[in-house]
Amino acid sequence: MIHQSPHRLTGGIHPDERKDLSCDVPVRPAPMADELVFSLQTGRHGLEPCVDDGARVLGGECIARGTGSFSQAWHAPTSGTLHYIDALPATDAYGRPGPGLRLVPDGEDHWCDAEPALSRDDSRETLLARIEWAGIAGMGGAGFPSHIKLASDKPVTTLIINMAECEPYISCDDALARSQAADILRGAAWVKHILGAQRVLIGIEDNKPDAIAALESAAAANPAVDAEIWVCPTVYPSGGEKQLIQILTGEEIPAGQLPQALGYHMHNPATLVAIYDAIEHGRPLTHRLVTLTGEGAADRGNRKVALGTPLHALTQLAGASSDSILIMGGPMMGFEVRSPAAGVVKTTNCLLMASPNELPAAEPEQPCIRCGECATVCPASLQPQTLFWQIQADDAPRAQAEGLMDCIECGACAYVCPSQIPLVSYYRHGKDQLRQRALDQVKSDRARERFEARQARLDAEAEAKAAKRAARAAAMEAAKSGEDPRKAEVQAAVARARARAKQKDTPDT
Amino acid sequence: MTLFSAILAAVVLTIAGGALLAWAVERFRVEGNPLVDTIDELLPQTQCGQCGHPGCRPYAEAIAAGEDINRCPPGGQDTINALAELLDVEAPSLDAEHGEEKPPMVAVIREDECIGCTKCIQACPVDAILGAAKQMHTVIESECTGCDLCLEPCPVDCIDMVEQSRMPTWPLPADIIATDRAS
Repeated sequence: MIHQSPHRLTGGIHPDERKDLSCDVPVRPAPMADELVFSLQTGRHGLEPCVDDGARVLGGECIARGTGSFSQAWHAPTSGTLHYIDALPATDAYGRPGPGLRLVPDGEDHWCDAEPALSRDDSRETLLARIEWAGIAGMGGAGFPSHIKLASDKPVTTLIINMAECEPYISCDDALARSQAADILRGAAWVKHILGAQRVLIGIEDNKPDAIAALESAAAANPAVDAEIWVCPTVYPSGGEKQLIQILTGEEIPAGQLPQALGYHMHNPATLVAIYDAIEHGRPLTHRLVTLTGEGAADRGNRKVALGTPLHALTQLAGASSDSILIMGGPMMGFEVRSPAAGVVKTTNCLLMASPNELPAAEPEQPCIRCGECATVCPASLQPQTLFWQIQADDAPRAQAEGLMDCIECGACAYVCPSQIPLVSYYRHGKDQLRQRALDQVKSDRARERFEARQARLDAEAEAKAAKRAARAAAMEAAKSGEDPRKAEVQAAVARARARAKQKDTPDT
Repeated sequence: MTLFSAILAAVVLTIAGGALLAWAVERFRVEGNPLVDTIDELLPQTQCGQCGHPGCRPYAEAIAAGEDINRCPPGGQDTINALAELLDVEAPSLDAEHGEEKPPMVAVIREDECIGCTKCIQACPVDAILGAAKQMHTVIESECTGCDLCLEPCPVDCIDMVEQSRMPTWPLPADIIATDRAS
């Protein structure tokens, strides 16, 4: 069933889509790179390798595990030899070097045995444990571990599949729907089962007719899922989690809350396919679709890429010109790659190799003229210009009070700004400051606790010492006055006995 | 008669109201000075003593009693501003006599030089140094407040202060991000 979504996004812009650069080529597997690299800085607490340095691993074998509850395991995408390395740049906007793993494929591609398939009779815990084992994280961009998201105990009524893919250039979800629509729905069936949801909605922009048709026939072939396809107009950023819910249901998720608060759960289609693979085929997440695009690339299209493939191997594969600008993600929300030696991670949906003409260097920033254009396009209904002034004035807490944390960094404000102010950079700076402040607060609270505990201990020790000293002084006093302390004790005992006898006598008299 | 009943009513009301107030004072008594707690919340809890008090809480008490608010170098201007806002006074700049604002530090013991004298352990205000007599000591990095107090007592000068490793912060634009280049 195809529906037209009756609601609209607040704000939004219409940047040039440029999806035709990559979406017309069928999905092709990328050849295995000479080496794969896996950063251990991934996730909130970092990862620990679970095989020895120099060990031979098989495809599908777990090579690194999370150290905290936000664990996201890495599995080897092929067989080969594993080495520990020190200075691997992280695949994020900062690209800080840190510990990592290097897998040198042996070219034989031997795989270990798959885990047994699970069935509907298996408990929710077993299913979630399998998803955790497979190292599945939100593949739309957030990278949040799926088993934690799915373990939420709030009642869920509706599962929403986020097929909007609103960012220009990117077409990997589109390609996935056209090639694996049935698998997306099978994954959706599992997630629906785990969550106990009643409805399944697929939110998709109207610029992907082939994907809509593929999903429609897959939905007809899998009536148990009962998926409804809701088509919405192409507006950026309709693919934001809260934005898509607003478009599909007309409801707004309150600031600072998750969609679970209103009974919604949103997942990216690639995540659903990974969940299906993990549950029914017992395979961990080792590959993903990546859009290789941009005018700087000669061979564009969607590729099935092994996780850990270094970005320079992909630019080489796409025949990128040497002067192209390398961006991971799309032109709106992506970040410039600091080091092409970084590897593909679970959230790498696109590698944009833009020619210098395509993304010309930003023009110099001019003063804000208070035109209010940014406020009209903001999908989160914020006042981007006031946030900008506050962060410029180094007053992040005030910006927080005005909703800085609800900013989704979509870049619509910066896109329309006539003064070319790089607004998102200011917001990221402000958000990082607020996060640092929160960490400092936790640390200072703990320092206070420890200081007070130590103070209490020292006071107790001093008191005990003073009591001992007093007792010793009393004993000395007794000794000085010439009496034998033992004699004094005997006398005291005699006095006590007399007192007791006297007490006994009192009732009689 | 009317005059008498009016006076009687006023007297009864006064006594009843007074009794209620007397009870409320006892019932809802606040232990300690709540202002000290609020000020203490704003201080960085480094416990370094650079303000001239043996810890953050004593300084908070001194501020509540009217001492200057610009004597905390680890808190820097941010803390001074927050205190000024709380107390509704003009924010002064940091009193250089008590030290200068530095990035957050942590202490690191050069472990092969440590002789295990336990002097730094006794000096640490937050028990962030682990060790025993004649055994090597080490600093628990996550608990160290960077107060410097362990440097002075160390007889072999084997403690260094290094900058705390912190989360990267997105730079203010000078550096341009992809979004800004979108045409």
